Amino acid sequence: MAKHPLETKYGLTSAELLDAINARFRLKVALEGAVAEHQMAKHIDRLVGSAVERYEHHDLDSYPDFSIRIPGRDTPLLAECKNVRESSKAGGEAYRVGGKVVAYKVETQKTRAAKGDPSSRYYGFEQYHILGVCVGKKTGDWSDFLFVRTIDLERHADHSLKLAVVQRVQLLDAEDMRPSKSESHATAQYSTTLRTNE
Amino acid sequence: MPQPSIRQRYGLTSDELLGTIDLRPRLKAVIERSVAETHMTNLLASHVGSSISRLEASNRHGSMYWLIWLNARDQPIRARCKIAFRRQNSVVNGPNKITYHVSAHDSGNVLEFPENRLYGTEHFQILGVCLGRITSNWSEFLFARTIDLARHPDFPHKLAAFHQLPSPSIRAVKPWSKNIAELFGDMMRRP
Repeated sequence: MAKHPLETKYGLTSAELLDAINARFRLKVALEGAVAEHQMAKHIDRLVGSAVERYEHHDLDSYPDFSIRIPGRDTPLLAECKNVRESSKAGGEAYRVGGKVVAYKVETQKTRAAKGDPSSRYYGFEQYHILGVCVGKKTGDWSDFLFVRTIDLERHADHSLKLAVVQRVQLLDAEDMRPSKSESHATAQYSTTLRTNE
Repeated sequence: MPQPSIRQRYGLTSDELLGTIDLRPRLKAVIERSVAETHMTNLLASHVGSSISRLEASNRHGSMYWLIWLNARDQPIRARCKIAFRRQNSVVNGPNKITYHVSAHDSGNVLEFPENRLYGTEHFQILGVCLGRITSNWSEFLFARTIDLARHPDFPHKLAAFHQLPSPSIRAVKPWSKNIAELFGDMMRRP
């Protein structure tokens, strides 16, 4: 089988490269971000030719992961991909009622703030239109996603134009798929499929 | 229970995973550190049984170092790995430089005490510099003893933040060596 260009470049086999990543926690976290983006790209790609004209992936600081061109809209829809939050504590990180997991969490803040402006760590509502949450860390299937419109997410308590740091992510089989319990979000829904027509 | 492989876990093939990395320059840059560390581990392991009696690799807060027990020495020495890069303003085949930084968890209040970002010679005794970004050969290294490296002009008990390397195309000049066994020999003669 032909070598991947990275194997040739780095003089390591794919197994050595992936083992090296797997052994380093921070690298694994970074790779999991990339894996989720790769899986989200597949979701978008399936819509090309119908709901989506074309899309681009971006690997840039302070810019959403995808811009998606849809018919009848001059500017692209911007989409951000996040992994569901997980921790090593027993049962993992989640919202629970009576010990039972009722929802997951996703963190919607940047890794760091700009100097002198702590609130710059929070995403503004205008920064992207769609959030795709990969729930692979919970379900074991990294193609499992929930999508939601950014305007339907919880607002930051102190900065009304910014997103709250942690958002509620419904379970894939939940009956109530609202991202928030607030009245203003009564019709908002998470969706397991990407919808661009709302 | 056996852990699923990284490929099984993410539902992607090796080629897809490597392709995902290849498309993301920022991720690739981070991964290059582990590539250099893997090559340094392999290189050190090749000396176990000759100059090295025991070798341990440790990954503390994402920063890897090695404990090396040289033959006939009770106390291990510590080694770290950095990646050489070419300065933007250097001319072709000009001097290459490497950077030294400690990780944030060791740095304390960096703004108030900038010297906390600098390494002291007590932090590690051997520095391995991977030349992969310059020569495209990621198993090519230069090594130096930290006691032989330049000190910071304002903090003489710390190493300078940048160290100039000899051009990889010419013979290594002191304190640099392409052969880590030479440094091991030097440490036996000059502890």
